Amino acid sequence: MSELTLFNRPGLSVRIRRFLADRPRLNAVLPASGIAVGLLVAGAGLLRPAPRPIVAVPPGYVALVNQKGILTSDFISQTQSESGATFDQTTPAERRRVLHEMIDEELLVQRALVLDLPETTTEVRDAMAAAVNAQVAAPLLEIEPTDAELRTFYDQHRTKYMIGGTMTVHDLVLHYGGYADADQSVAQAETDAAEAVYQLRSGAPIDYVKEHFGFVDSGRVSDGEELEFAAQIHLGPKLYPVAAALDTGEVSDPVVDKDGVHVLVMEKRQLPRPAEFSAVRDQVYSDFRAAQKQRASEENLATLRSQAQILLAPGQAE
Amino acid sequence: MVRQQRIITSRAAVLALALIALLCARRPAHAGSASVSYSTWVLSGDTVMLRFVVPAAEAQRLTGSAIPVLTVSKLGDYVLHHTAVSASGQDCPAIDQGYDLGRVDPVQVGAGLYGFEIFFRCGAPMQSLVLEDHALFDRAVDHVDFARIEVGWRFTDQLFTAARQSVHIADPAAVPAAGIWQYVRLGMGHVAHDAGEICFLLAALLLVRGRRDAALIVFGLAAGHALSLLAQAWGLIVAGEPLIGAFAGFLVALAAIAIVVPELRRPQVAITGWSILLLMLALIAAGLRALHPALLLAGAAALSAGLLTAVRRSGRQPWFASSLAVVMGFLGGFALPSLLGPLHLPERSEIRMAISYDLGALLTAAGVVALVAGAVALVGGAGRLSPTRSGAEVLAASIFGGLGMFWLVSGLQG
Repeated sequence: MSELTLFNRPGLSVRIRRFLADRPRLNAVLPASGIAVGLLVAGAGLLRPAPRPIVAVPPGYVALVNQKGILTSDFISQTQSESGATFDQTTPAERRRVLHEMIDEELLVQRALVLDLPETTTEVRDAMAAAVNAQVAAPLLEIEPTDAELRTFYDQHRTKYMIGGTMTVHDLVLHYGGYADADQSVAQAETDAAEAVYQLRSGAPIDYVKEHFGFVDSGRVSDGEELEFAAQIHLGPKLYPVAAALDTGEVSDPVVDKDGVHVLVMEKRQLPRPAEFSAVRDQVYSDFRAAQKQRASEENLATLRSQAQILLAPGQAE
Repeated sequence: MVRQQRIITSRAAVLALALIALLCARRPAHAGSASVSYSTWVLSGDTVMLRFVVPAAEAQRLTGSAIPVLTVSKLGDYVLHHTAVSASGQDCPAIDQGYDLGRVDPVQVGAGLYGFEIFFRCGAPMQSLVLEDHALFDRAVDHVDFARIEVGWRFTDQLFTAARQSVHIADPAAVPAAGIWQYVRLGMGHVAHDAGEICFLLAALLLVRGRRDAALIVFGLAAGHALSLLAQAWGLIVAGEPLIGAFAGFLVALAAIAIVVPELRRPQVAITGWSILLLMLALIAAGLRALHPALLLAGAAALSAGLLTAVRRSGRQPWFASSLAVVMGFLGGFALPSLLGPLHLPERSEIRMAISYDLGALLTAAGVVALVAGAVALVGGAGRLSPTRSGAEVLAASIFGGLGMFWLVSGLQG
């Protein structure tokens, strides 16, 4: 009996139709409800409230400039900084002046953004890049390094903290290609220099070599003893490493530089010795901080590059 | 007699179909296709500062480049050579702005917009000023530049159109504002170029029974425009300009379906199917996290179900076309305000402009309705627009339905 009832049961749509036919008021209300709901939902999708301008300064702000707020905390800091007194001690006139300046500054910053100065002006770009670097380094710089950390850094960079080195060195140069040496080619000068080095190493006097091959003093170093750092500056990045590798009485191989072929003769050399940690602690501290900043900046740039899309023009490389 | 009436009716239908075919090539003006730009002219001392703003799509059309750097460079030169100022009959040259900027400074004016600043310095006294803007009218005849002229704290709104490419200011202390008639003309031009609205009017005319009922469409549009003004005064704006075009497309499709539904053997299946289709599109949009399109489609589904069920039960009643016209008029009322955003005008100014614009739109719509109703009456010689549904009418409805659906989907994408 129950199965028969189940099979004879009318379909859902028929039942809905019958249900509605029995209730004529509901029958009329349903389409109207659909229309009303449809209009409301579509209206919600189509419309939104217009952003209303803020007409009152919200708490925590001292002013609004073109809807952009100036923080009360910034105002207090600026007033204290400019007056050199606590905020309570400043006069209303001082506060008005500071607020006027801050509003002027905000207007100028807003104008700078409209003019797109971060994209177009080198000074602004430099300042922004420096600010970003300072910001990423700030968390590291907030933690004071311990002496152990500084000492480890000192040990790792011991060569940077050397003192007491001196050298008495002769820098002989064989010019080529100039007005007075028009016939001298680079290859010929190198051959002559190699022969001169051989003779110097065999015990020939410097004056003889100068006279015989046409070498002259380069004038980069003084005749007498020079401190290590002074010699480094005077000789330059190409010749100093060669000189630093020589010991007393040694003669360098020929070194080709812009002004000719050089030969260095080390008359007297006193090697620099490592400075005591306590003597150079301030410098170590400064270098440690600089290294921290550098590392933070590099890590930040690595992250930025990983997220950036960078396209290079054909033939360009970085 | 019956045969003669059928011939007349089919002639009218052929006429209507020819009109539709002509319109098929056009896009609805709602769908972000309006050619507009914005200019602000600041009169100060002996200088006129012009800030010219061009929407990115317009800029891309003009320069043919989607690369911002190239667009900025080309567009800056173009704006410089198509704007000018003169005072007391003498030209005010654009001055070099220093650094390596030259005479045009590209400025940041917001996402999707390109902005340029030019400073015109006048050697002559700042009297009898003439502000000239010829930009973009050579590319689009219906281009409109919404302008704002500022003198100190005061400002007035102005319009540059192809027919009016210069504004004369006799005395900077009393800068004239654009007249109401200019916005009326703008509204008239907008409807005349809006294939979506014209198609809607034609589809709605197919729904009504006689010329008196046709007037209800115009009343519906007027009511819709009035409601939109109220909504604007209430502080509502459209969530996205392409959504207006999408919903207008939906209304065209809905009118077309309402024409066809009474002719079907199983109308409820068509109504349910159409509503479910919209609901499914809403679900897809929701899945794509497009909240506003999803709500729009869900609302369209409920509206379709309600309206079509009502029309099925009551037959072709004039109130149906009229109520669709109310919604269409409501959408049309947001056409101008949705374009004015970058000009940052006060609400009162926008509503004044919108009233004039809506009046123009309404006049044109009324003209179209009267023209079509009159033409059909002349051809048919009867007081009824369409006493029976001919095959041509159903075909026309199908075309409207297809167009409406296309505009709905393309609007939601845009």
